[in-house]
Amino acid sequence: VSTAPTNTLRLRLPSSALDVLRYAAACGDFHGLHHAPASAEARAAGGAVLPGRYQHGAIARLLQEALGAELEELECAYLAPAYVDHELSLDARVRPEPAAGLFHIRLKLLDVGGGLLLSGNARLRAGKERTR
Amino acid sequence: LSLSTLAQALSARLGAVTSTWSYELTRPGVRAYARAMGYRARHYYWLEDALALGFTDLPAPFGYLGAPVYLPGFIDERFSEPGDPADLSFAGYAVLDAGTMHSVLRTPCAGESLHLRSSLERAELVQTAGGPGLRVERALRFEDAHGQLALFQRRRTVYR
Repeated sequence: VSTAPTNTLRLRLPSSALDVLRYAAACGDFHGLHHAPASAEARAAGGAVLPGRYQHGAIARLLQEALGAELEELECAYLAPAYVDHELSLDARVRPEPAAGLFHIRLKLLDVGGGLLLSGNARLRAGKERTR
Repeated sequence: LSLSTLAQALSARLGAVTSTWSYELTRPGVRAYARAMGYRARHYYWLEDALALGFTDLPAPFGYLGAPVYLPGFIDERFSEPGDPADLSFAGYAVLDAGTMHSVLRTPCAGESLHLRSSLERAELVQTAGGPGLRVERALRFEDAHGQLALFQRRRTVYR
């Protein structure tokens, strides 16, 4: 585990309609809000919206790949709609805890204007896959 | 049902298990989820690579629960998961996903089935940007064939 002081990662969250389609096929979330921009739900929301648990899963992948560590826990609060095909950036403030082999993260998902869409926190364990 | 009526009905059931169901992890399911999330690591797709890492089969990526067994009339057609008991109908309300906490106690692998027990943790009337709403928090416990807790999720949903 790095002993560097707290630092911040900035990562891009994928948000294409194809990403949402693949997620729906894998998880069965067929709500029109996410994949049918012409649906009443999406029109009311101002456009098709990324599923919350898609954001959660994609953030999980980004954090694990960026740190080479394995997630143990991730909590996300969805504060505002994250729209499909919009540019989304993930700011992850990383605090290593070398003695325990852990990374503690506070994260924010921001739109291109800096609007806060999601906040959360995560705990990752350094090293390769943990559970056998 | 009004939001306040629903809040009262839910509050009377806090801590109670409101639904149970089976979720199946399969190799195509693991591959589909890993691809949807953008994973490039081969052990989510190629059995020999997973075995070389010590897994018994393709491991579930973080956040993957497997596929809930589909049963017409029981599984929610929009979300593909079991709904709430029939007397807790949220029909007519918009459903907003407000939050997810996911915790891994043991990584399950393809070939396993997980048993869900979902319980109500909190129900409260709230004021949202779009007007009054009802925020519900559920705890989802996913146990393996030995009754051991493998995955735990807490979900917050707002109805308005």
